[in-house]
Amino acid sequence: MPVVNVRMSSLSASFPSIQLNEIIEKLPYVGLDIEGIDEDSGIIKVEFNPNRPDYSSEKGILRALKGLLEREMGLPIIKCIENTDYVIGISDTVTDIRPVICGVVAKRPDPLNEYEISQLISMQEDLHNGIGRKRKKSSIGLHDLDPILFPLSYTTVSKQFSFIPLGEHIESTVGDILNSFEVGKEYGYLVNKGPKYPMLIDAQKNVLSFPPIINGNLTKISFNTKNLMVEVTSTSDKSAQDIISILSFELHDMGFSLFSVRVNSPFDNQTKTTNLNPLKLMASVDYVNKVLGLDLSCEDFIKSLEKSRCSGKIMGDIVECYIPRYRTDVFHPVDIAEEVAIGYGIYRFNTSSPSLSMSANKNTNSLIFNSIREVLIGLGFIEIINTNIISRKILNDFFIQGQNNDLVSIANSKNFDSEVLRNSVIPSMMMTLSKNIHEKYPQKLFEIGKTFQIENSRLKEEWSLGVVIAHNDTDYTEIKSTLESLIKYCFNKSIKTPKVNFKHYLEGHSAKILYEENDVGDLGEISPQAIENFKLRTLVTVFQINLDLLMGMLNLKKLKYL
Amino acid sequence: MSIDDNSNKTDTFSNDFTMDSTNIPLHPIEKNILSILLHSGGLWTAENQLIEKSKLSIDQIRRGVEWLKFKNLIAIKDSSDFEISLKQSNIINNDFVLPERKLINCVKKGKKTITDILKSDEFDSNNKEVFASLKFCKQNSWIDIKNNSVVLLPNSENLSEEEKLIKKLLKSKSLKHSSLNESEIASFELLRNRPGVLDIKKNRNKEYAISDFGVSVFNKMIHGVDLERKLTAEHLISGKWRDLKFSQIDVEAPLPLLSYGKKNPLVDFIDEVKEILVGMGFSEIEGDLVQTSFWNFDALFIPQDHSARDMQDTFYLKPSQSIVSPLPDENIVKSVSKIHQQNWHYEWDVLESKSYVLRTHTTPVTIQYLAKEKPESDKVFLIGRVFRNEKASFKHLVEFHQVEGIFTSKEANLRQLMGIQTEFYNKLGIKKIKFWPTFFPYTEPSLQSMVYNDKFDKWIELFGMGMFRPEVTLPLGVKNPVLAWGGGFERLAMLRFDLNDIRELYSNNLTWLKGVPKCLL
Repeated sequence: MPVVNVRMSSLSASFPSIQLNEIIEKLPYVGLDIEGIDEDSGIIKVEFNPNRPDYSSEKGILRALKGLLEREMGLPIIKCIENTDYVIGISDTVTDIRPVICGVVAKRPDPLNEYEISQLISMQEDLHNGIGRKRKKSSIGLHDLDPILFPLSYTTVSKQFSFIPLGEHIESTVGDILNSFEVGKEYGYLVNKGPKYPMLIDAQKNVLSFPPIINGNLTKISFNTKNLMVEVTSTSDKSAQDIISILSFELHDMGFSLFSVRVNSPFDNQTKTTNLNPLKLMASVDYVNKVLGLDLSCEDFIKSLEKSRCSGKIMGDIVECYIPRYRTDVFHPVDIAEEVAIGYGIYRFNTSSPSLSMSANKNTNSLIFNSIREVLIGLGFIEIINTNIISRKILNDFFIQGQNNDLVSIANSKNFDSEVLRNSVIPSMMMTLSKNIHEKYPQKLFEIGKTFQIENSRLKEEWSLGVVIAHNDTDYTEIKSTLESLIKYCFNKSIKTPKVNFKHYLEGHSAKILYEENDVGDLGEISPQAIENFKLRTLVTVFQINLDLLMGMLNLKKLKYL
Repeated sequence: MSIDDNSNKTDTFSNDFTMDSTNIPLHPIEKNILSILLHSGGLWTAENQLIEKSKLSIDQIRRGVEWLKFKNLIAIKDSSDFEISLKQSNIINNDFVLPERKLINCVKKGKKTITDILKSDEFDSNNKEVFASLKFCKQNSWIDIKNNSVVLLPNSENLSEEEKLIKKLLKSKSLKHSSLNESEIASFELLRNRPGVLDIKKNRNKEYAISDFGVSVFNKMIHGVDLERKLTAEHLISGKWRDLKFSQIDVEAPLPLLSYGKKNPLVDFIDEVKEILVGMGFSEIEGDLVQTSFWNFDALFIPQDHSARDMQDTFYLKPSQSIVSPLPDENIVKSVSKIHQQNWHYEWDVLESKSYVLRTHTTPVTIQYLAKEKPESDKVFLIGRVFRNEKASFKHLVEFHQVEGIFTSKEANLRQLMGIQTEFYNKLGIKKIKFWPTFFPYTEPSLQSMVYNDKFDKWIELFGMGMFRPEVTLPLGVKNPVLAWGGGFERLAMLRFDLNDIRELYSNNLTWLKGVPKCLL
């Protein structure tokens, strides 16, 4: 989750009558996680959830906190002055690339200070990664307004088109930027379908930005910047509007006056202008009370909404709720319920116990597996657990010759030893033996776990039991007698063990396990080559059983009591 | 019965079935040694202990044990060992730095080319030392050499196996060779061949124990009778026991523990928690570890371009033409796709939803249960494996367990969810609980719970919870509100087993497995 720095000094300044620790204690109750508090620098690091991109700045967080602490309630006030000069024309060539653009202009007598610039840049970063989906959906350009001559044109250019990119002194072509700039290499794939590339240029053909890659250098923001132009290009109208709203509220709180930007779109012949009006949603007090288990009056309901920086108008049983435009996560009455809960204060909720009594039980597998465990423990075995994901090397070391065509592999692992899903529990159990060579022998282990393979174009996931015995005198007799004891003591059944040869068993010392003529597993003495591959210095015997198969045949899908 | 009561009765019998122990003369030195060995509780006694206890000289002891051995009265075991320590002269400022580490430090100070390193104060133009150090650095994968200059690799921050042994030696001054583990022995072998590193001293040592015959000779000598060491079945059946005297054993001597079979501690703890949940009226359900993206994400209202679905966090199975991945009933797919497009404003792709993932949470199992049963009211839970494509660390595992429960009824509400969670925590012995708002894509309202841990004296984040969004339940045909809660199980397990490194739970270290007590006190 992204992190924002909140300064203790701003908290104290915003809530002069409340103790600092009391303010900090309330931060989690607006949905923030305190990651760390640095007393020396007076900074509280907080994490915010992806549903609240408006928390990507200190001002956004203060806005919510002021509601909960009843310093400022209801919809935050914002004003956007209608303006007909700031116009962007969209060329229809961008349709297939990145069709949406919108913007806002912000003006102030004082230039931006260092802290404000860093806040805007870190917000831009968080918004890019969050609702911008790493610029794929939306990307933001922040510009100095003064060098721009309106109207702007959002259009496309060829790969040979050149301009001076942000932070550079000489011109580069679009092709150069895509091939040799870091941002070009990272985000180029979003527009690099050729032969046309999106470009935002002004009336004098100067470049504002090459979205979503890089801005032009002309409109670079500095400590002298007093007037700003913000644009968002996107594949989704809603996402672009969401981002403009969040940034508009931030700039408004920084003391800027906002002016609307008109966008003339060719496809629907529509003119759109910056829209910061609150969203409207209907919800009934009854429904919200039912969801929360509360009994709020209409007045309490409205007050709770206002503490969440929303507002409401009572219309009979229904409340017309208004939500500030920067909230991107409120679109269903259940979302209103959450706003009410947070405004009411989660700390004020009394827990209640539901009176639904049900007769409950563990599932059959859990019960049968526990019976198997009990018998094996009685026979002196210790239970181990290994991971389902293992390396090919372990499998190859065990099965000696790759018989692993039906293995289920993982497409994208970060760990070199996580490559495939195991098709047998035994190889990882051999690893366990190998890790315990300093421990006392005999070592007698078992594991109950899932195994995976592809069979007839279907992925098969089955429960499997593995049993291993390691010491200098273990042999086929010992492992077979363990197997027969388990089957007899657990199910009062017997099995047959016809001879079979596998590379990982000593030739002539291994067998299939047949239950009523069905192959449910195998057993034997592990081949010296496999033992050596696991760097063991003692003998190993094993058996493994497909539990799903065996339990199916024993008709154990449901446990019987009588 | 005391030994003296009928001392003369045993005489005639004992000679019949033991070796003749009457005619063996013992020297006072031998008697002294035998007496000490007899009272050692069946354990081996080292030569120095013998000297200490007997107050005899080393020569007397050595002579005595030779005689005793010749008479088969004692057993001898050679337990010589090497005492390993660091060469004192090379310990500087309480630290012992191998040349290869010196080289790393030198590079860190900015001396990157081999010539610079050679000329550095540390190496003082010692050609041989520099090249040896380079060799060791490369063996440890600490460095790469490019264009005659040294590039540090991330591994150079880690101690080599040799350094680990040296660190241990620094701490404990000296180590016995017999106490080293496999990798330490390997490091020892490497270091012993390097000049100026180790001092190795051989400690010759022998250990002694009294033989059964020795016991009988000694008893005969002391008590004038043959004493039996053990009651045997033969004594019992033949009735000889009536005439026998038995020697006193050391009933206080410590003995080794027996090996035993046991359940894995994590599985055992999971089972205890299952019992708690069953006791609260929740029934257990189960489901596959491999899930389609449809159930793991789409059905949970997680948009297809959401970062949680990134290859960064989720394990995807290699797509293969040969595996068919089944989607549910067409109506469910349709309404899920519609809800995504309406609310998230993007083109929903059915192919994306067919990709197989290793489940990132247990919720796909829960909602498939809901989709199938469509219960009016129900309480179910599961505890199962989940997967995250992360680098494993002391805090994170690639595979771990999640516990999850749901409650549905016509009247289900948020306060009840908090109540269920509180009851569950109370049963685990957790008394102080806080709830905070949070966010999950598939629940609304959503909360997270913080619990107070007395042992660490701090608040710990535990389970998340919420009410399934209508966008999740409606396409499945579930009408009543569903309360859901869950989270990582290993967090609880680390508290239970007092672990700092989560990986220990899966290390299968037999000493640990056997050492975890069955009952927590």
